[in-house]
Order: sequence, then structure tokens, then C-alpha cells
Amino acid sequence: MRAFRRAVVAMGLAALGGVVLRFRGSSGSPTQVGTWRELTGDDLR
Amino acid sequence: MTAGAPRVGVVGTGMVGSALIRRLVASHAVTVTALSSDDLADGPEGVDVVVLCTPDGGQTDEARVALAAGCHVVSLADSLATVSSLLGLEDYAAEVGRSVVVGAAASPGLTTTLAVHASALFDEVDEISVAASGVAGPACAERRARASRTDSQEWRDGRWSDVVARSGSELVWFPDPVGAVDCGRGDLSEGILLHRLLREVPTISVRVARDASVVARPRVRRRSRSDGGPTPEAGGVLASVTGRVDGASSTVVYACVAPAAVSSSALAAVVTRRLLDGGAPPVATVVDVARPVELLRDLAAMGVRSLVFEGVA
Repeated sequence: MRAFRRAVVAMGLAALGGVVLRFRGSSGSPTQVGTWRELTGDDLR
Repeated sequence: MTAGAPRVGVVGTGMVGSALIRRLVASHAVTVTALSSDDLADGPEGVDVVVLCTPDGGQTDEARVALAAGCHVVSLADSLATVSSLLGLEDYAAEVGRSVVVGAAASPGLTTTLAVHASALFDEVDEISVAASGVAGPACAERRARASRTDSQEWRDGRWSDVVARSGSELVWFPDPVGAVDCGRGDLSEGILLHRLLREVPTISVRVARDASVVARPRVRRRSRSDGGPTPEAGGVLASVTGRVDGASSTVVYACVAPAAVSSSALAAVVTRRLLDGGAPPVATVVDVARPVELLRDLAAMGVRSLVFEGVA
């Protein structure tokens, strides 16, 4: 029974780690810290 | 419309082709004809530009037929194989004195325009990443699904490398209402087009939404139903450029969010009119037809607005 509980806990931690890595992404894309602004005026000269 | 206005033939009347016809008719600057593949094979008479909104696989043959009939060609194909093949028509296009404009859609097209526009801000560009999500009609959805499961090539560290479909998965944050979309490598042609335009850039990566219906993640799908956010028709393109200015490294991210049929038809209409006005080399990308700022201004005037990310990229 103890081994079963340990296995369940281990699988839960692994899943949690996977979720964190999955949502963190790798590179090349902006995070959500910031805003989007329309290109206008000087941006299009 | 004035007598003697240029004639544009649109082949393929799916969502993008139909939207393009409506835009061109509304411009009152050209005469528009919907052409079937048979019409094209018979040789369209008096048509100045043929716009190919047909399935990807047949576009090289259709372009050759249109060139032989004395027409310029604007292609909305997106696969690496087809775009490479269209670029290979350069000698023939030069021989007949006409132009083939490749990548005149949201992806490739708007993606390459945004990437080239962002690259101009840097003294030296280290990396370009582009991503695309969203589909127009059923044929487009089928093509994008195939793209997301087809191996491709990527320009990495100054050479072409084979890449496995769906590898390099990452969450790409498009502007609202699209939001975060799970994207991976796939069979799109921005790499070859951007390398042609910006040969000194060492790394160019391209990612496509792994779920062709764009709303890839259950969390996003649930939110879309509750607050009227993304719909299956929503789509976006994004170009992230990292480089150096005065020795300091920075990243600029541009994006555009619009249904794929809207942005693709708008760019195709802009490019077609610019091509008629000013011409183009025998084989051209959209930014060879007009400068990126001109294209983006034209698109904004048609309601397709581009955005810049301001924050921690």
C-alpha cells in the first residue's frame, strides 16, 4: 500500500512538473508581461 | 470602374478567393473574373493578373499556364515544396516578361512582411521566429493540418537542417482574442522566403498551430465560449525578431490578428493592385512588390491592423 501511495505521489509530481514546463514555453515568444499596441505613425515610416 | 481597367482573374472561390473577389470589386479599380481551372487551362483572354487561391499542390502548373497566357501570377500557396517550385519559375517568367509573386497570404505573406519590417530596426539580426495560427475554409484547414504533420527544413546556424513535424513545441502568445496557441514546426515556407530576403540572418524558425482549428488548448476553448473570445475563425500571425542595435541585444515582436480569410484576401488584393501599378521582378515576394510599410499601411486602411508588443519579450 505504501508503494502504491508513493507511486501516486510521484506521478502527481511528474504531472505537475510537466504542466509547469509546458506552460513556461521555451523561447522566441513574448510573455504576457506587457501590452500590444497598434502600429501607427512613426512605426509605418 | 473605368473602361480599359486592368483585368484580374481569381482561380479558386473558397473563403479566401471569394473574399478577394469582393475586395477587388469594391475597389472599383479593376475588372474581376472568377476563373475555373478549365478556364485557366483554355488560356484566359485579356486577363492581366491571375491570382491563385486554389489548393497548394496544383499551383505550380497553374502558374506556368497563366504565364504562358501572358498573365502575371499572384500565389497564395504556403507549402515549402510548392513555394520552392514557384520560385523555380524565375527563368520562364523572365522569358515571357511576366512576374510570379509568391506568398501573398497571411502565412506566408503577412508573416514575412512583419518580419522584414521588424528586421529593419536592427543593425544586425540574430534570429527570426514566425508563427501562424488560424484557417480559412475547409481546404485551408486540411492543408494546415497536413502542414503540422509534415517534416520540413529550418535555416539554423547558417545552414538548412531537417526538422521533424510538430517538434519544437512552444506556446505562442498572440494578441487577444487569439491568446496562447500551442505551435510546433511544420511544412510552411517562411523560412525559404525570409532567407531569400535576409540572407545574413543565421537562424529562421517557423511554427504553425498544432491544432489547425487554432483554438488548440482546452483552457482557451473554454474561455472562448464564456466570454466571446476566440472563435474557430480567429487567427493570427506573429514575427519575433532578435538582434542588436548599437551593440545592445533586444527583441521586437509584431503580430496581426484577423480571420485568415480576411488577412489573406486583404494582402492578396493589396499586392495585386501594387503589382499592376508598379510591376515586380520575374519572381518576387510581397515585399519585392512594395515596401513593408506600404503594405502595412494599405492593410491598415482595409481594417487589417498590425500590432507591436511592448513589454518583456
